[in-house]
Amino acid sequence: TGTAGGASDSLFSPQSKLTEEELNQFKAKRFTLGQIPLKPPPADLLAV
Amino acid sequence: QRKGLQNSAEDSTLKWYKDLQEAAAQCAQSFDQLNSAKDAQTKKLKLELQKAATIPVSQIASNSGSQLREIFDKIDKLLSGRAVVSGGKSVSTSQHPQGLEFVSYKLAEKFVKQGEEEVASHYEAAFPIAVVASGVWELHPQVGDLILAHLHKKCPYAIPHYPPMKDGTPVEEYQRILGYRVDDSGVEGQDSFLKRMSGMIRLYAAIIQTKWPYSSKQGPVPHGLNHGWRWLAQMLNMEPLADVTATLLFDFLEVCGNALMMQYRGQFWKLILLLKEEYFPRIEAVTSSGQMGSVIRLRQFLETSLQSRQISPPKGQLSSMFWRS
Amino acid sequence: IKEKPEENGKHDKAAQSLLNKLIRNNLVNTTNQVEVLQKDPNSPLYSVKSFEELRLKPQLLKGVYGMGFNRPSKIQETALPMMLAEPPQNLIAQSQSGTGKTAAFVLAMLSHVDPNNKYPQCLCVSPTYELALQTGKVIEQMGKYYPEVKLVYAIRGNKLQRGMKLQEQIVIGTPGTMLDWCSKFRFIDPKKIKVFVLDEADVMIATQGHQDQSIRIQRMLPKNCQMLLFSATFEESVWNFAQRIVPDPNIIKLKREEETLDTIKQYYVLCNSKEEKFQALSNIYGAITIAQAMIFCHTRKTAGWLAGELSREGHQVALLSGEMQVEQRAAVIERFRDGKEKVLVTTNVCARGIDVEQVSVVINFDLPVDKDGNPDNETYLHRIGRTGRFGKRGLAINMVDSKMSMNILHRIQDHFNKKIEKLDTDDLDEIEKIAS
Ligand SMILES: Nc1ncnc2c1ncn2[C@@H]1O[C@H](COP(=O)(O)OP(=O)(O)O)[C@@H](O)[C@H]1O
Repeated sequence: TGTAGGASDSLFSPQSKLTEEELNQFKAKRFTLGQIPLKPPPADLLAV
Repeated sequence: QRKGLQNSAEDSTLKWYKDLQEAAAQCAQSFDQLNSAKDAQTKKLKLELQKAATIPVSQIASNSGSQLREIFDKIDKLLSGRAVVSGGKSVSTSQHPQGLEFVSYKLAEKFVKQGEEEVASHYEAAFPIAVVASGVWELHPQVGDLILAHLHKKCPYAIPHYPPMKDGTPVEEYQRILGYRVDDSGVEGQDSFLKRMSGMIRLYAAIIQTKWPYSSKQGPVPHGLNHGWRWLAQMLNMEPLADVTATLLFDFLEVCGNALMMQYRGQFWKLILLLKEEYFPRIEAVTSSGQMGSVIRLRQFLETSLQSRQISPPKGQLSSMFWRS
Repeated sequence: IKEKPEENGKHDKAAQSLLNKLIRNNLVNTTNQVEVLQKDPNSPLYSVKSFEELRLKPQLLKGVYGMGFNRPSKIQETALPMMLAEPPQNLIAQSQSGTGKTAAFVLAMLSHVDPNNKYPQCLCVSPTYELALQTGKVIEQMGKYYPEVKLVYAIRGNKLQRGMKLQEQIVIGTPGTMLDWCSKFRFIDPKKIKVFVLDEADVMIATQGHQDQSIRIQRMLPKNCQMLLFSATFEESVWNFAQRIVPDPNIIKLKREEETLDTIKQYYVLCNSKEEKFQALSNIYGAITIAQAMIFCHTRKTAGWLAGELSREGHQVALLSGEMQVEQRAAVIERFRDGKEKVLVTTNVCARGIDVEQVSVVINFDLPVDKDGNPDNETYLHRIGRTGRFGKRGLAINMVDSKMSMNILHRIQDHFNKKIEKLDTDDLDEIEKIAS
């Protein structure tokens, strides 16, 4: 079903599938209100 | 580049929702002939098929693992076109060309109704229902999509989506779209409405973290925790609604907060921190004094979680012990 | 075959009260207005629409909301401000069970204790050990965020060392033991009690000795101790007792909600045998979502047979029957309430007096009749009738299997002047329609 509802169909998003904005959100210390990516975080960015 | 909280869900979310609704409508259309049959024999077959699909779901309970396996096997058999015995009679979807669509549709509808009716009053019932649903979903994905479609229709917050009032929609119709029950005596009370919505959100939160333990398939579940992330992120990107948002965030986190925490670790805590520090005040701002209950429950949950850096596993989760029973 | 209806003995009232408590997980809907008689008719009458207005300690507010409450119940709207007022006011309150009395006085006790003082400050007497335990659970839940406040049970079997003094601020128990602890053993200094609660007064006076013991406890308490008395019903005898226990009371009464058949859909199904009845039942199950159902049979034998058939079909069934002890019945009811079983099969007699408002579907596998075989309208109404306009939507299905039972059905229908519609359980669409 591809990207059902904006989520990817796997538990983590490969970094290559994220836009720059999304990646920045995951890299930042905090999320910005209203801009949380709907795709799940990349597996290698779980520690912040 | 969007700024701040939004008034509606993202286009991709809404498109997904609409596609699912369309597919469900098409499915319903496809078995119309069986559904509206007038001859006694077909009617009888329809009754037997529906019973074979729905009675097992109504029998799901947290009594024993072996009992859940039996129920699952019955449903799986039915969806695989094999004969099942129900009430002493043997029935199979192969007896009618539209049998499979009909059974899939009714089954999905039943899972959602069970969540609405039963989980609403017994939160812990979410887990045994979810585990069977998720097992069925894995082997029969068409049922999964139908479960989502039924769920979204009864509880738009499961998408999540806050349907806007469109010009010209009668108030009653709009209340129905929002998930309220409306009948001759009027619209249902807020507490009863919230309870049903809680039931369905809790069922959804249980499904996305659950895998059928006897599954032969490797790999991720068809509708897993990535959807938990999606749901939560989408909720927090939207302007909160009084009463509804706080109630459902609490329900959702109480059920799958622990699983999300284990899965997404630091990123999950970033969500919780944002929720506590920036989003929560926005909830408070739309809350009037008679609606503080849900807000205080959510705050208590967030404070406890952040203080202990821990979210407890939900009550009623099925343990490995359970599956040996 | 006629089976003798089982008599439940002298603890009937207490047992019934307990079972009703156990089966309930919700507030009973009320639309009636509370009647208030103030000790001082000139003082202003406060009532609150939210818990915030009560200015509770934050720990207690959290506790109340943590229990899932959102706003005060009808009786709590008026009773809570009175109970929490300074100086304390005495109160006699009457309303049917399930309207929020226990939650109200538990909140009052928790609000009035001083956790820094390590001695009993609130006494609560209940008619039986089991009922005391239920109240204790509420205290624990509501006091979840107030762990400094401790609770102890004054019940037979709870033996304390001679000469010791209790440190717990709240004591809850039965009148006999409570009296012993206050006078004979002096575990409690009655002069330091600030709140005295007497719960279920109507059940209390039904037991020999309880009335005297309660009065003797009350006599030991200081003049300024707040006295609170609660009862579900209010006969003359309860009223006399209440006045001896509670001086200068405010009085709150909430009329029992009339049970009505207006908000309920009633149907009957025509069958030829009990096997056909069972078949009809299974069709109903296939067509509509029943979270929980209660099925009533005339005899223990039918109930046992039906429960067996249902289990064989894979249903989770609980069987409640008259020969069970109270504890056994309580255990069955609790499992049912917790959703471990979804169908409760019981005999007409055994379930008399149990409120089934929690249950969305009631099935009369046999119609209720009295010992002469005449329709038992009162039982029918109590079982099927619902209260409150936005109460749970209800569905009642009656199984009819003979001319005789058809006749009874007609008489019930005439008595209430409310049509009971025929339902064809072989027609799926028809069954589905009734549930929407
Ligand atoms: N304000 C309230 N809001 C929601 N539920 C309540 C409220 N007060 C009590 N309840 C619940 O309603 C049920 C009946 O209340 P309870 O205090 O036991 O009534 P009573 O003592 O009159 O029988 C209980 O399950 C209780 O938790």
